Amino acid sequence: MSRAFIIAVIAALAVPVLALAALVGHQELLLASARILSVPITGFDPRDLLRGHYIRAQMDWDWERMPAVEEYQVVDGALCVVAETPKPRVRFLAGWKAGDRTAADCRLVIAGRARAPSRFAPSQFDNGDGGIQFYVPEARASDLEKLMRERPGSLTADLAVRADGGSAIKALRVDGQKL
Amino acid sequence: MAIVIAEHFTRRWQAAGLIDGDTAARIVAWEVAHRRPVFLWAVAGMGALALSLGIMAIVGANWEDIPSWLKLAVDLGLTAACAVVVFACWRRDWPWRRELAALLLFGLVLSGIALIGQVYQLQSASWRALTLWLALTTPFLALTSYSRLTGIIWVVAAVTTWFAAEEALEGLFAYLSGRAWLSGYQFPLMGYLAACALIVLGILRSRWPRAREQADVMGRMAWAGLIAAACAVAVPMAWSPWGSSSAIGPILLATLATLPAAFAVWLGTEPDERTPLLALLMGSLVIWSLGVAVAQVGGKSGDLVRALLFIVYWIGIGAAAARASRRGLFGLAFTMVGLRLLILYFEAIGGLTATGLGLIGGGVLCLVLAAVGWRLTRGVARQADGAPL
Repeated sequence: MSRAFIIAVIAALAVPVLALAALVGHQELLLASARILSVPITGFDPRDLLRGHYIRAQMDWDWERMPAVEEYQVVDGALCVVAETPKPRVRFLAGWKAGDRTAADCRLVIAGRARAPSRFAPSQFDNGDGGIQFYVPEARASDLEKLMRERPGSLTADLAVRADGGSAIKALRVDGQKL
Repeated sequence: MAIVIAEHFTRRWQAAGLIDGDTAARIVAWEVAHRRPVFLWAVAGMGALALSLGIMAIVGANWEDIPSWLKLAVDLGLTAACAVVVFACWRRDWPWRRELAALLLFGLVLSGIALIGQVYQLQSASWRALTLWLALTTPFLALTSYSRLTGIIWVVAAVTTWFAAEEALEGLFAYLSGRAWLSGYQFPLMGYLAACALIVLGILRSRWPRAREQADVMGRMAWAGLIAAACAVAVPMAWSPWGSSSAIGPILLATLATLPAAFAVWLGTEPDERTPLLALLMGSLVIWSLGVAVAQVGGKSGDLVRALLFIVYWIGIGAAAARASRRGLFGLAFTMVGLRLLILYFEAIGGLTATGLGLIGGGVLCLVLAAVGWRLTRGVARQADGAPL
């Protein structure tokens, strides 16, 4: 067996291990260099009854200007965050891409997709209908769903937002306490 | 157990005069010399299964309490260790250990991607994760794994990924077929394209002598997929295009995909297989195209046209099988024609009395077809090699 073939086999076996490690490192790097934005999350219909480890929710934004999106339409763009507290006050920037200029009052920009009615999900979490699946301990999923219904705003997500508009969920909190 | 079975059959064959006493004794002696501790393996297997299920249950029960970094570290460690085991088994040429370790690594990489998604709350369409999985694992599977089992699992994974991306590929297919919206043609088109791609892959894989058996099973799956894709458009209710979109774009794409498959068959198969395989490929393209072209013809006339396409297609396959002395394939072709005739018979009747008469008529038709099929199948010479047709 040739030396080159053995090297090719070693490389082929190393690729998945290195790629998985790189994925972990990339996510850690993104979280380390991002700014944290606390976003309330609310219930989302239809609920996914088959997945006990997840709650389905949507992010509850304080809209300064709602996205002009028709039913069944999906518009790529970004949210311009003009105020971070008490609830992120935002306006939708249709067609925004990484590198585009933004207005001076935009403190943060979150890339994603808008759907009717006034629903926005960051690109990384959009699973096709604007709803977001949050992984939670199975035993607490139903309590958290109840909490979302009965005390809106008590469940929040720490959204780590990068300079290029990409984002990741760093933590889920109930009344400010990390889950 | 194998010895008991061998003794039973050798006695039976000896009594029928097929083998003599010496041969029977030699067969039993060979089985005794090659006996394998099947029961011990079964007990050991059950023990290993119980042990692994127990570990999984303990880990699962405490999953929420295990820190994320520990989960990721263990997963990466297991993946790396499994990669080392694959390499060691490959270097020492231990076939079954190598294949099992490669399949385990195949699964571990997918679980690693899922775990990273869970820990970092990453969310995207499933086809993205599946595509990443195949991109990371295909190189080592191609270089270190040559078994049929691995080939089957890889083909199933690739086809699953392909169809999981159906929604994401809508725009691309619409653009390639020159239409704003490809509509309901996409699903049968994707099936046809996948089969053509797998034919090419199977033939390329067969160029490597070590992987020839694996390539053979991949090729069989590809040809079966091609036949299924051609049949899918000739079966009523299997799919229906929306609106009044033209079929020209999808047919053109299918024709373009057939060209590399035909080229690969022409260059990469044995001379005696080349003609029947090319005939099957071209016949499948014609039936697929006609099926797509008449997809919007509704009512009884549409059903009749599709049924005729289906029957003509399987008659063609049966004729090719008879020429190539493939009794099994010939029998399958005859069964498919018979089943379609029966379905056509039931489609044509209605009402309770007519249904009763139809059931009687259908039963008679089945019996006649079975008798004709028995005579025809016995007339086809038996051949035992492993060519795809």
